[in-house]
Order: sequence, then C-alpha cells, then structure tokens
Amino acid sequence: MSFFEYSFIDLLKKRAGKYLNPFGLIHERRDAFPTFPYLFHPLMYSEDFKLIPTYNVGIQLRGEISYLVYVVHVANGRGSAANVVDANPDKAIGIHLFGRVPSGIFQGSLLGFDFYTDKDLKDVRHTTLGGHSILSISGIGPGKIQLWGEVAHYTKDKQKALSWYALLSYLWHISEQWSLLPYVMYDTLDPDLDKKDDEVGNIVFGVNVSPFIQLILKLEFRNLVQGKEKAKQIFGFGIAYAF
Amino acid sequence: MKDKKIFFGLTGFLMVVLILNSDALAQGKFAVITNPACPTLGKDEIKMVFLGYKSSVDSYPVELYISKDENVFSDFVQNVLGIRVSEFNYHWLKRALSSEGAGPEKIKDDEIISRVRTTQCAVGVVSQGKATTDVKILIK
Repeated sequence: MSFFEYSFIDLLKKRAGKYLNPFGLIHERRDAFPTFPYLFHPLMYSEDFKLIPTYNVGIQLRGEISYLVYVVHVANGRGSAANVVDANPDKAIGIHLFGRVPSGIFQGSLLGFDFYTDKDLKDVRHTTLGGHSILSISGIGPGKIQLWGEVAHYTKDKQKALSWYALLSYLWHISEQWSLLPYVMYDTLDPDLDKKDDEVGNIVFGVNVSPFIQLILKLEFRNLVQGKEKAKQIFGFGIAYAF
Repeated sequence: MKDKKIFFGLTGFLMVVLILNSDALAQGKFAVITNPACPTLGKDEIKMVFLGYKSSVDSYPVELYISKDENVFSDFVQNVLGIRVSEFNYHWLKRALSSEGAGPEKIKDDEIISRVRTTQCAVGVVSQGKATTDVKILIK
C-alpha cells in the first residue's frame, strides 16, 4: 500500500496510488487487527471468494465531515497485472459512503452503502453492492454495547453470491488501561444463490482482552458449517499489537 | 437454523444483563487555548477538531496539542469530548491505522503555550493555572 494524498478541504481530498479498496466497515484497515473484534476476517472479506479485490491502483476523491464520510474512486480493477498493468479499457469504479453519529450516547454508530464494479482478465464484469452499520450505545454500565452488521451481494456473469454477518459485543472498561470485549457473531456466505448446499456459516464466540490500548489478546471459538458436511469446531488465539 | 437460534438467544441475554449505571465525570482542571488570531471555536467545534473530523478553521490548518499531565488530559477528554481516555486513544489508533491522521501531540504545558503563541491556529489543552493572558482561552 503506497499512495499520495492531498487535502483541499476536509470534504475534498485526493488520494492516488495503491490502496486497500474502500468497502464496508473494515476493508480499508483489514490488516489492522487491533481495530476490530474478530480473529479472522468475516467471509465477505475472504481472499478465497474475492467478493472484493483486496488492493487497487487508482485515484480517489474522498472527504469527511462530522456526520458524513465518502470515497469515490476509479481504478485498474482485477483486470490488471498486480493492479498496475491494466489489461482492459474498463476501469473499476467504487463508492463507499456512510453517515455517522459523532457525539452523544450513540457516538460511533454509523450506517453506510458500498458499490464496486470492475472487469477481470477474461472481460467478465464483477459487481458488488454492500451495506454496513454499527449501532453503538454507551453509558450502559461501565462500557458500551455494539451491534455490527454488514451485507454484500456479488454478481459475476450469471453467478450471484450473498454474504452477511451480525456481531454483538460489549466493551467493558475494567480500568483506564484494561478492557474486556466479549462478542458473539453469526457469519455466512452463499457463493452461488442458484446452487443448493454450498452455503458456509459460522457461529462465533470470542473475547478480546486488552491490557493497554496497543495490545489485544484474542480468543475465539467457531462452529463452522459447510453445506451438508459435518460441522467443524475451530479454536483460535491471536495477539494483535499496534506499533 | 440451530446456529441462528443460539445467536439470537445470546443476543437477548447479553442485552438484559448489561443494564447498569454509568460513571460520574471528573471535574475540569484544564483550559483550551488558541492563538488570538485564530477564529473562536465553540465547544462542539473543539470536539470535532480533537476527534479529527475537522482539520481546518477558516482555511487555516489546525495543529493540536494536549498536556502531558494525565489529569488534565483525562479531565478534558471526559468533560469536553464526553468519552473515556481509553476510547479517545482507541479512536486515534483506529484513525492512524486507517491512514487518517495521528492525533494530538502530547507535550509539556510550557511548550504548548509557546507553540500556540507562534502558530495561527494551534489549539492546546493545558492546565488552568498555565493559561497566560497572551493566548485566547476558549474553555476554562
């Protein structure tokens, strides 16, 4: 990731270079594990299914004010070699937009919309529509409760896929340094809506323990169900540290 | 389907369990200052500036400084921004990791006053007793 950014005003900035595709709640910081609760990315961000290409090379217009954030970008898309050498004349186009609550009991809540379309090396169009939201309520005991939700609908030629997840968490500030965040999540992806028994679903229970702001210890249990296969149980432990 | 039932059941359980009282806010011991040449900012504008949602005032770029004194820092964050220090730190960590800025610089009060005096739109949070007459006091 390497880009140049110039700010005209808060509501109009220009960014050019190689960047993480702006999409959904976390895609622009998908490698910043201290900034989201789960240990593994939700299925809609999976590298295996590629509903959204991870990186792009292009130009963005973006801006923010207290209530609104937007990004509009034109890029090479997946029909390019290493995002740089573009094989087709059709550029990728993306829109990432959300409104947020900047203060008060609902501070941190947001509601947004995403659109991304491009063509691959075989000249087949891929289009993904998305929606994302966080309902954040503070002042409930010593912490805040958050409900996250994201959905992505993907079309490639005649194939249609749908993925969504919902996550409920409670951030408990044990002290100014220590915090505890238990969460529960349901995460699912149907890679082809016309095919039966190909759906993947996860129910996830996890906890984040943070002794100080840069360090988060993550413990997670997943019950993974894939089509008609027998469910698999996955235990995970991770350490996320921000330098 | 069974997984979905478990998920929604737990959601309801957590919502019922987590209804408790909130903490009282700390008392203010801080002053928010700026250069006399900088337009006056209201409390809401100060909040937006310190959360990174507003980076200029009347086309002047804003520079932000916060006292190294943890009590001053904590009182300001809780009373003006209405959040906990840990939430403020997490907010700026998230913005930094999203390439959206690094947050206010934490330096000594004397250095803040010196920088506010010499910068058009520097905004600083210092302890009340340190605010001098040659800077504009926005909140005390």
